[in-house]
Amino acid sequence: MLQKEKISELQSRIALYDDMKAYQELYEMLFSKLKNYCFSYVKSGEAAEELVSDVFIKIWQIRNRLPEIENLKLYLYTIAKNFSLNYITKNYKNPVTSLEEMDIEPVISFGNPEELCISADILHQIHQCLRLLPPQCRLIFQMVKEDGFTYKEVASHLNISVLTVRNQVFIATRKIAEVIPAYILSNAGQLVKPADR
Amino acid sequence: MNEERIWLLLSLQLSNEATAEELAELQTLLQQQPDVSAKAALISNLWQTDVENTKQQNASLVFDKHLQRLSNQLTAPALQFENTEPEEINSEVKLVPVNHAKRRWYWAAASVAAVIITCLFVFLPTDKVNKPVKFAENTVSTKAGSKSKIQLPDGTQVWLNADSKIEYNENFNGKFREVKLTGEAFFDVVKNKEKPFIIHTAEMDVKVLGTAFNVRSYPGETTSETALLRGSVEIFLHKNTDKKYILKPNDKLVLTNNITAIADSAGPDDIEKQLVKMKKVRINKAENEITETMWVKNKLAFDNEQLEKILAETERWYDVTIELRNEKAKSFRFTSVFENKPLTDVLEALCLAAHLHYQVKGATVTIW
Repeated sequence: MLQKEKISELQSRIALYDDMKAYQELYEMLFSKLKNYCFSYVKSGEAAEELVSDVFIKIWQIRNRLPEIENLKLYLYTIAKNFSLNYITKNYKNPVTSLEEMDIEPVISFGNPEELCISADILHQIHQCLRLLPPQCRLIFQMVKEDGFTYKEVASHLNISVLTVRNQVFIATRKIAEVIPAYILSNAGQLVKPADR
Repeated sequence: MNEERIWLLLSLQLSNEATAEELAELQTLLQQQPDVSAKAALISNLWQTDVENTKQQNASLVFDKHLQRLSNQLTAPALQFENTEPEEINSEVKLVPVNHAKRRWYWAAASVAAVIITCLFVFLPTDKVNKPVKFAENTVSTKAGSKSKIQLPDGTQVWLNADSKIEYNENFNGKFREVKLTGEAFFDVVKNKEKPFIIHTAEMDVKVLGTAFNVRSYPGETTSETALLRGSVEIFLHKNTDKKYILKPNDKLVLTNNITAIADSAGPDDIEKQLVKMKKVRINKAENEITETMWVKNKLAFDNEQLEKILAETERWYDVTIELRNEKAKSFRFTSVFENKPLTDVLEALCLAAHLHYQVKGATVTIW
């Protein structure tokens, strides 16, 4: 929520005063997330970085019209998506056009194992299981978890129903739960017994 | 099944989408199943560890790089320099220190490529310059809805009106300073008797020594005009190159572009008379300024002008399409000045005065 207010403040500063400081702040705030998002599509760090830069060039060019945009963050992701898809069509030999067929690389991070009191192996398994999810499911999960979008925003961005988003996030969460072994240390450090099934 | 429900509720909670009831339900379910609760806690931790702090430090470095790309892209929105060579600029890009050797190799390859391409651009055209491609050197154009001011290499100031284009030779080498104009421009020419200044348009050439004047030659308009403010200019018509017209201050020459429009009217002398009309510039009394050149000061001015013409000018000025659905209204005449006014103000005023209605839909205006 806080981020939302900050973004709309930056948005009006850019639009009204051509404020470069605000522009930089917005860039730095969203760069790595947007880059990860583009990376999911294009799977190249350098290309993703350039695409983000293109997105922000676009924003600077249309800065006079920014006040008309209701949800700037989502708008940025929409441009990023379009640019990424254009990039794929231009640079790949056999471009796929539907999201279901597309190979999307999830960029989802979980911090390091020590902090979470789990082994690196388990963390690896969690990443593995996310990779096995259908592309659209991964993308939805990424947008909700990593980019902090609401179900409604994701739904409108991907042109699907809110219920689908809700289901896909649930599926991803359940998958993670399945990978976590029955014996784990809870946060408090106490050993938890397996359930008798 | 119970566990399924927990994961659904947990996913809702972590996405900030859960209602109060759902949160309460999750709470009770987790208390009943402590083993699942530990898993749930771990998932919550996994979910909430954010990468926010991990990559932040190179963001400002990346932003510098972005600014470089941005400045290469920005050729002031109203102006489009069609013949600039972006490759040359690219080769000067400040390299951001990057650790990976692979990256460095990439940049090296890119700059070598840039140098090669630049060389191609620099050396190839020299062969062509000797051929009659005189004006291809530099082009400045404005879109509909924007204006701009430029300074030519000799110091001459040019104000370019909307939807216009001017082409000129880089250093004005040769006997004359020559430019080619499509659209409307106001010139304040620096005096240089050795090198007369010549403006080529589709219908006429204007030769000057040092003076200020307005030239208007939009394709699609029925007339071309030259209005002189000070100094003197000579005008040569493409249709009749033997004869030249000399303008004195405050004279205006109006040339009918399409000869067929008046062809059948009478003998050749009459045609010439109808074709070329000498008028005086119109002084707007309220503003004490010359109507023809008020656009330079961002004033949209009309002096006893037909609505049809006014709308055509308004279209160009605001980059919109206007449809007039009232035949009678086409010949209504107006005199007015709009200074820095939004489109709706102009439409409001015109429609109020003529009892018309208007509707704006995006970039399309309908008047009836």
